[in-house]
Amino acid sequence: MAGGCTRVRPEIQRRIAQALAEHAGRVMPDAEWADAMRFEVQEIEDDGEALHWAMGCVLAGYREGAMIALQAKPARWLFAIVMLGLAWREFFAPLLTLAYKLGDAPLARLLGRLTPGDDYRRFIPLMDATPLWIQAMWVMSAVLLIAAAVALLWKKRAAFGLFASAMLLEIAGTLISRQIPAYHAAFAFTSFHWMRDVAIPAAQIVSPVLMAVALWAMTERTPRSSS
Amino acid sequence: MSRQTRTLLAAMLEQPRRWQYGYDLSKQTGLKSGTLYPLLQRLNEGGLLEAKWQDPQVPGRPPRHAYRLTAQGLGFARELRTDEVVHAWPAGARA
Repeated sequence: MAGGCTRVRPEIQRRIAQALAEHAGRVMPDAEWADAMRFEVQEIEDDGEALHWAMGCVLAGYREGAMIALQAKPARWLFAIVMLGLAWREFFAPLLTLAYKLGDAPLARLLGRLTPGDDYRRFIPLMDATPLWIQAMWVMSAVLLIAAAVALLWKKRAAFGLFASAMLLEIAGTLISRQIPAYHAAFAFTSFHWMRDVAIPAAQIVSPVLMAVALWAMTERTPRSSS
Repeated sequence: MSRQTRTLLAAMLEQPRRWQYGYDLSKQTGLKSGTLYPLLQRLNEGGLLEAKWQDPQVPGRPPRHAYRLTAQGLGFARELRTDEVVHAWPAGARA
C-alpha cells in the first residue's frame, strides 16, 4: 500500500489525506473523537503517512458508526429474529424425522410442503439413513441459537460464543450428512433453479458469517460485566 | 482483552504520567489509526484513560487530543503486566 501511495504526488496525497480526515470526522459518531482523529492528521509531516493515517480514520469512523447502529435496539431485535429463523431451520429436519418416525402423517405432510419438492416422502430414505446423533447435533445447534438470541437481547457477551458454537455444530452436521448417499438422491433435481441452487445456498453461507462478524464486533464493544 | 489493547496499555505504562498523542502512540505500538482510536475511545469510556485538548504548539494548527492513564488505568495496566510476567515464567521458577 505504501508503495502505491509513493507514486502519487505529495501535495495530492496531502489533499486526499485532508479530505479523508474530514470525511472520517463526519462519519465518526462522537464529535470529540472525530476531531481528535481529524486534527491529528495535520501533525504528521510525511504526506504518505498522513494519507495512511487518514485512511485508518475513515475505517475507524465507519466502524464506530456501524457499532452504534448495531447496538441499537432495532438491530438487536432484527438479529435475534434472524437467529430464531436459523434455529427453526435447525429444528426442521429433526422435527420432520420425528413426525415421520412417530407416524404423524399430517404433521409430516405439513412440514413436507415447506421443503423443495413439496413432498416429505422423498426424504424417507435420507431420514432412515441419518443417524440419531446427527439429528441431536442439529437440535443442539437450534438450542444454542435460541440461547444466543436471548443473550443478544439481554446484551450479554456470550451471544457470540453461543452463535459460533451453533454454527460449528450446524456445519459439522451438514458436512457429515452430505456423506450419506441418500442425501444426494434427496436433493437431486432434474433442472437448474437459480434461487434454489445458487441464491439460497449462498445466503445460507454468507448470512451466518456476516452475523458472526457483527456479533463479534457488538460483543467486543460491550463492557465485561465482571470487571 | 485483545492483544492490541495490551500493547497500548503497555506502551502507555512506559511513561504513565505523560500526556501522549495519537500519532506518537501509533508509532510506539505499531497500531494503525483505524485500530488505535476505537481502542483509546473504549479505554476512555471504561475510565482507564483520560483525554484532554492541548493548545497547538505550532500557531495556526488545531488543538491536539492527548491521553494518559487514569489511576485506575495505571493500576490495571500494572496488574496486567505483573500477570503477564508471572505467566511467562516457567512453573518451577514460580514455586
